[in-house]
Amino acid sequence: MKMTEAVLALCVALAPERLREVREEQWKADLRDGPQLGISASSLLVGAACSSVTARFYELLHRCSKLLSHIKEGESVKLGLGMAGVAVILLGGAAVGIQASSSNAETSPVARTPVHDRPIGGYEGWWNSTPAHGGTADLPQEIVAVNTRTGAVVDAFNRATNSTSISDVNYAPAPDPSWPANSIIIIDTASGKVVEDFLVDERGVPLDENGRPLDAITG
Amino acid sequence: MENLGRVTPATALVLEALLAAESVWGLQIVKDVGKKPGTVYPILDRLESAGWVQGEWDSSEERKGPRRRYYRLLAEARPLAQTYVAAHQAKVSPPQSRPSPAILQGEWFGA
Repeated sequence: MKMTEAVLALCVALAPERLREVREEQWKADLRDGPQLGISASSLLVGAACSSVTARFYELLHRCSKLLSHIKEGESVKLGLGMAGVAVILLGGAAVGIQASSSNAETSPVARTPVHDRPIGGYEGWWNSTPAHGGTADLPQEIVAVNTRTGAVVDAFNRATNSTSISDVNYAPAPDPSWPANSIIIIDTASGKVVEDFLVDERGVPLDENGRPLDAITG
Repeated sequence: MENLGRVTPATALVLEALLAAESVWGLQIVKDVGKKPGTVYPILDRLESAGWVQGEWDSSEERKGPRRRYYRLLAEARPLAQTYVAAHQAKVSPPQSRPSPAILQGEWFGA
């Protein structure tokens, strides 16, 4: 019985909204009284489904013909405005997408201004940034950056003290053959794991995806 | 009242059932026509949306629960419905004196 009710509910849902209430009561009565005439419930349910689908089809046909007649009557301006609206929405979406992708590009590692003891002042990326929403619990609390060309620590960051001074971080990384070559690796000092790496040239300047130094691109 | 366009034999049978009484229960039409509800229900929907028939609820208070749906062929649709039914009946029972294609074919061969 539950199956019958479920199928009936589906048929009602398929019917155009204006007919649903009438058809639901009609079909329920037919299911109740059909067996008296030797008409099975399954046959009635198929009938209900056919009725709903046909009504939907004719409704759609009616809407299409109405739309066509509107266009013929010169209401194409409205249609044009509607299409222009859709185009504006699509263009807006594309602009947001472009903006988002350029924002992502900004998260690539960037070399900081050089200081007296370092030709590259350090590197900025997600590991030493604070997200806009302010949640930093999932981010490393302290990192060191190691240049795998030299094995030297070239940058550091302690989130608690907001310090980028290498001498403030008491961590001595042990060289690991699994480190990527010619790269800067970011090590979370709490776990000792490499959380990020990126290629750099011999000066330590990060390379883009085409292998060009980033300072060559920015001029 | 809209033009029905092409009237199928099943539609003609439904019209015939509707012509037989003032108001007919939908399932009774299914029974009288001898077709599946999947055929008859959509025809009744089409006739109703085209303004040929009017659906109405069973006014009997004997039965409890959901009400039966009855269909009444509108007065302005009756003459055209009768025409369709007559045309359908004529197709179903052709005159006996009509020559069979086999005979005609034989005549052509001989010509």
